[in-house]
Amino acid sequence: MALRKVKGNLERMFDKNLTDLVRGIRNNKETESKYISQCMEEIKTELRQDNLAVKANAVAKLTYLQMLGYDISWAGFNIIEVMSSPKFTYKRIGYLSASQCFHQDTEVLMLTTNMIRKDLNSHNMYDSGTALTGLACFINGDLARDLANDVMTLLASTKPYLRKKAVLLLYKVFLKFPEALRPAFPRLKEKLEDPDPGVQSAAVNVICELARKNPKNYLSLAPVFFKLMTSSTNNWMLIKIIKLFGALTPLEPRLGKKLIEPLTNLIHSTSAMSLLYECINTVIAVLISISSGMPNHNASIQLCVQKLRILIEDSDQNLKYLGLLAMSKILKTHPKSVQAHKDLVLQCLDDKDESIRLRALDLLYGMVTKKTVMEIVRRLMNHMDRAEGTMYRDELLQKIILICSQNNFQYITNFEWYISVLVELCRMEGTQHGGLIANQLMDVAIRVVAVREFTVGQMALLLDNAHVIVGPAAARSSIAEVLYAASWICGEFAQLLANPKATLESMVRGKVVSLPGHIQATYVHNMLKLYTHIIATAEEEDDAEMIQEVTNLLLERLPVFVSSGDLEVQERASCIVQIVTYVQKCHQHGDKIGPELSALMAGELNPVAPKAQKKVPLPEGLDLDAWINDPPSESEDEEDEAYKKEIFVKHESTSKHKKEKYEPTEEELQKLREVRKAEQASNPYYVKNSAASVQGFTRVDQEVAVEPIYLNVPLKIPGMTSMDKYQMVDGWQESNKKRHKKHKKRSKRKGPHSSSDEEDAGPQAQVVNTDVGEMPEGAHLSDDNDADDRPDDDPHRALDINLDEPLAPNEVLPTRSHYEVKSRRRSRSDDKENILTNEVSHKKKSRSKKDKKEKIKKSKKEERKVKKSSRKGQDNLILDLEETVEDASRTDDIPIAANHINGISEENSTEKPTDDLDFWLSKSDSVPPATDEVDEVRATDTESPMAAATPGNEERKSKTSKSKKEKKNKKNKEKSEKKSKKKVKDEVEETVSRNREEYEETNGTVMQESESQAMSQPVVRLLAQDSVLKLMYSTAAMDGVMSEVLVSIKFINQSSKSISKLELNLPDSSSLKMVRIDPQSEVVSFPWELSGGEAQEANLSFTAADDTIPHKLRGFLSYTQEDGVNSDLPVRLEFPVTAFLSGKTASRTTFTDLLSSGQLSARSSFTLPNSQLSFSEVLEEVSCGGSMEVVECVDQTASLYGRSLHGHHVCLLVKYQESGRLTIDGKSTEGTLLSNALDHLKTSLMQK
Amino acid sequence: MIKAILVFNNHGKPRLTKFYQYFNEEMQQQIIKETFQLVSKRDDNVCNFLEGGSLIGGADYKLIYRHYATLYFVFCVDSSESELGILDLIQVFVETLDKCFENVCELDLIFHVDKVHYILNELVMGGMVLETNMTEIITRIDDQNKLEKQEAGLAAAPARAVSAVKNMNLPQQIKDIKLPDLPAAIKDLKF
Repeated sequence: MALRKVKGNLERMFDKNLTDLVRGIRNNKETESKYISQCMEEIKTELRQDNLAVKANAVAKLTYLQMLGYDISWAGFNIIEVMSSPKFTYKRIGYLSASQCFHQDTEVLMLTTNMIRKDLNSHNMYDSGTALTGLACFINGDLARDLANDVMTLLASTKPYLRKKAVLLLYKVFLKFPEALRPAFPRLKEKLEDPDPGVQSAAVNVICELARKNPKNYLSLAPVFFKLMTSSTNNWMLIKIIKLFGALTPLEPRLGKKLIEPLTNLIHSTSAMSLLYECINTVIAVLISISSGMPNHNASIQLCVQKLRILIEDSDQNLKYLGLLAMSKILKTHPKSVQAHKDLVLQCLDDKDESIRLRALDLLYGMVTKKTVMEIVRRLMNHMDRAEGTMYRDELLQKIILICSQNNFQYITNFEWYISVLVELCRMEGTQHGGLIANQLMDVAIRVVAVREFTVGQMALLLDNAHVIVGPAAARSSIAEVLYAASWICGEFAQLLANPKATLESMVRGKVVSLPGHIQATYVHNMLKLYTHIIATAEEEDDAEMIQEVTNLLLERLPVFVSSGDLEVQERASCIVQIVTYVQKCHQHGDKIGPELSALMAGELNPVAPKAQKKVPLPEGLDLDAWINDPPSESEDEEDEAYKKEIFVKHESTSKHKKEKYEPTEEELQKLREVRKAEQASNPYYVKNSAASVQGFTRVDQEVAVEPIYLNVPLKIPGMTSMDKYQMVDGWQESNKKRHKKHKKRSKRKGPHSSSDEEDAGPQAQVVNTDVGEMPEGAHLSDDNDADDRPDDDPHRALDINLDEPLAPNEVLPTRSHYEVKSRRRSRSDDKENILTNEVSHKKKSRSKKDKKEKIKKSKKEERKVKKSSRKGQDNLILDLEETVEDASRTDDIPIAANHINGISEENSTEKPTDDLDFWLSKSDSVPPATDEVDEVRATDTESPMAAATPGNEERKSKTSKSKKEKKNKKNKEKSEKKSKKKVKDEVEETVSRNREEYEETNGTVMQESESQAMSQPVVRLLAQDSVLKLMYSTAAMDGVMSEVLVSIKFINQSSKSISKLELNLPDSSSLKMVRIDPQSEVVSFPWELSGGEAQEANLSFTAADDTIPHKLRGFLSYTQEDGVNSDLPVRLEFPVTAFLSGKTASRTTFTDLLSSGQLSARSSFTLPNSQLSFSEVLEEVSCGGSMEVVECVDQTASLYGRSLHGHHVCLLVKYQESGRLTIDGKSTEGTLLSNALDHLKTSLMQK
Repeated sequence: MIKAILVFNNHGKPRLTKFYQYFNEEMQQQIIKETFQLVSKRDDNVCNFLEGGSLIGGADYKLIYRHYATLYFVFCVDSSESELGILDLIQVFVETLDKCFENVCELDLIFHVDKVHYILNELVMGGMVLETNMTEIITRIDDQNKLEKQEAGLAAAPARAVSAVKNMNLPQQIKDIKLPDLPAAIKDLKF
């Protein structure tokens, strides 16, 4: 056996290992694929062996082959085998391979859950580390769900290495299993304050990733991050935080104001370029978000721009690039600051680095003004001449057009110049943006009436020199598109042509057939327009010769088009031939046909808004989806595409096919549809930017022999405009004005601007028609722009979760069911921290599902009770007056208590964080508070809003609420407080009534459902009793906002008869006063009747002037029985000092802070040598009877905390020894209070 | 987030590929090819940022690369990463490689791609930066290597010896010689 093993080992030595494989591949360069397939076979054999070492070796080789592009997913199972090896060496190989080739749809992953869990919980740190790293690459939804808890456990690991990795993995878990986000988030947030900087940084990283996609949910974390930003020196983390702030500021401008100062400081102080750059970026984001002015606003911009200039001037190309990038962000809001650095940007245009040139181009786009546009465009044109490579040249061309056309030609004052630029651009060889130029030409011609004549003239020249434009290089470019525009403009505005006949001749001449079909079609159609115009004019002038000439010209030339391969061209040409022949016939008869002919082309042309077609309301009863006929074989997609580009739809365009109206038969319809499709494919009124649809024709055209014209000299066409003549940098405006005065406005169309007279004919007169275009009635352009732009499958959509809401009891990470142990025990901490502690360890996780269900049931029940009792409350005047305190140990009540202290109800608690944030943010607006207050405020800064929902920081909160009042938004807050108080009242009442019901069940004794619950339930004392009526009462201190003691009195009718007219006569003492509806009356009447055996309760609240001494109130209760007997019952209300205490704020940190602060000057203690009570009974008595809260309980020692109405602190230490010796040590800020409290406790403990 | 990390040489041969988003093998090769074409045509004195190619990423993504001698280190990142930060990270990565391999050269990456992966895993995890402190990274790597050595223990000694022999670049024939079964005496010696 041992022998075989050795032999196996030895043979293994001669198996190919990874190095051999790599070497082999390198030695077989020519036959690589053959060699690899041979290796694959070997690997397959190796994988079949039992020896894990052999398998691991094979998997390592597979991982290498995967990098070379070989699919290795077939080995998934073997990879898992290797992953499960107990040896770290092999495990690592397995995980590496898995992370390279597994993905979330890999099926074998479902086999890995338990193995990975084992690895995560391994005692070897690197096993867990490897598992975490691997998991981060291939985690899927199931793994995330099943392992979330284990990852959470690792968050609490003692090793920073694992904590760090676990934190990062959480992000992946959230992505795949969004339900985990809310329960896990508080723990993640804790990691922001982890002692290890690496863990901290990881947590920042994760939260930044989360927040980047859904920033509004993380706004409440701003204070925490702010603190980190101002305290941390880790540049990596700072960069992340600063980036995060950049994402948050657009949502909260006040945050931005707060950030400016520290960021500016960082900009000044940091030496790290990366940090500097991110600071500038965020400052820019802040400045963008702040709309209103700030005093040093300009200073910040200047600082940024100045620093960016340094970056751009740096010799490091990277800094240059980033500087330009950031500059373009400033440009959007503060163009002036950037424009000052125009020189720098123009300089960058000459940079050898294309990325930088493109960035500089982006900047130029925003830097133009009316004054600089000509200069900038000239520079760009110069660059274009020099630029090598069509890509960059095209980019330049596109930028020029974008710069000029932005915002409806906002910066163009001289449109003649712009037309010149466009015409010059036409001469660019090999551009792909012919369509763009054509579009611009048409746009200007239509919208700018003032330069229309000039445009038409230029276009006529273009047509005349078409052969130059469509040179030998034209086949590869789309420059011919400009001829489309030129012919259309000349046709449409034929009346502005100087010599229509010459233009017609140039259109008819020569090379037209070599153009793409849709351009030819436009040519043909516009020939008709020109012809119509010439005929109409000639008829007026009785120029028969002219008529004869043009008619003959057309009849001679059109047949070329009639035989065109393009359906559209053919159809139009034959149609026009018929018209011309008809006209010729008419003229031969001496008839004048001019007016009829021009009626064909009559009509005003208006721009149509984009999307207008889509906005046409659907007539009633029309179902566009219903088939009129049987569906044709191919779909009609083109139809939709046709809408996109077209703005210039003319009325007449559709007239041709609709000349006759008739009832079409099915066949005819089919035919018509085909015709229509063909028409759409090549409708000349639709600008097409791609040559795709006409490729078929161009191929045909290429067969036609075209004699190329080679021009070595720069193209200069006599008469054709050039922008050079506009290059008068100074004083160009003046000279332009002169030139314009020479022009006469001959536009006779009823354009909106045709009224402008010659005096205004300067550059300003070239008004652009900037109407959005025609729209159907009632439709608006921006009707449908509200969609979320994230793709549907973006996992971040699912992570848009509100994190500020308190966790619901059912929001738990799924736990492994087979680990669950049935247990009824609910630990106190479990209840308090809700679920999170539950996840910390497997031991605590033992809460059974049944238990949870019960809890949910319970809370539902309580909800119902809320409704009931609030109804009750409306009936009951007294109840409306008062507030009560509730059992703090109950999970459900905790948020109420905490919220109450803040004056905000549970319903409002979602707004609470914002309020907190408001408060935090408002600091910078107001005068800085006194220093000690600032400290307090700082302390609250670190408090997360969620933590506020736990009772732990009541004290700080209440302090905070004091200072809150000084703040600006005081009013709002008070309003909301009032509102919420009401709600709290309802809820609180509900709680009390629930408590009473419980008492009822147990005949007035505290029901001890569980130890923890009984802990701070108020002690119920007997108030008065006779044969008929029994009164019980309990007291509870309400500190914080109210500073009142609440007394719940329970009336129990012990007789069988009903009792009515209950009146409590309870005069105030000097220091103890009841809060009454009617301050004059000493009598409180209860409006209800008590039938036999019924119990009712009422709440009264009292204020005490001095809360350090016990109080008593005497009075009587009068009532009337069913049979008319009136009785009085003497009442004696006792308030021991402990009644003024409440312990709701007991958290360990505040407690220790308090003890160490030295505020607790008073000390007192007592010892009971021989107590009959057990430790738990003592504790119960102290905590319930003494209204104290247990802070910490270790063995037989407990510390308790209480706070009086007036804010005195009382801390007790209870020590219990087995012998029954009990010692209670007290410390307090108030000596009398302490001694009275201890006296009271002593008596009550002795009595028991 | 880092979407992918690619290392290839001046001829576009991949030396390390790490995709933090799933692409099938064919697509991966295409991305490598495209990235190589984008990066390789750039001069050494131009900036190290590149608006992403069409295959990987989209508008939000950038390619950030560095060119060291024969190797290109390319990181594809989205806008949540700091450009200069990633450049630093590449530097940290390369310096760590240099420390671990003692004067790293392309051959180290060719023959020890697995080790390079392990090193990278200490820097970046699941597309997020894990650690940037080189001392910490190297401690972790050394620890793990020690662990590996312990596990290999005695049994690894002959294997190491054999691989040392192989590494001597012996002529092919010698390498192909299969050892005959060892005589019993030697076996006894061993145990």
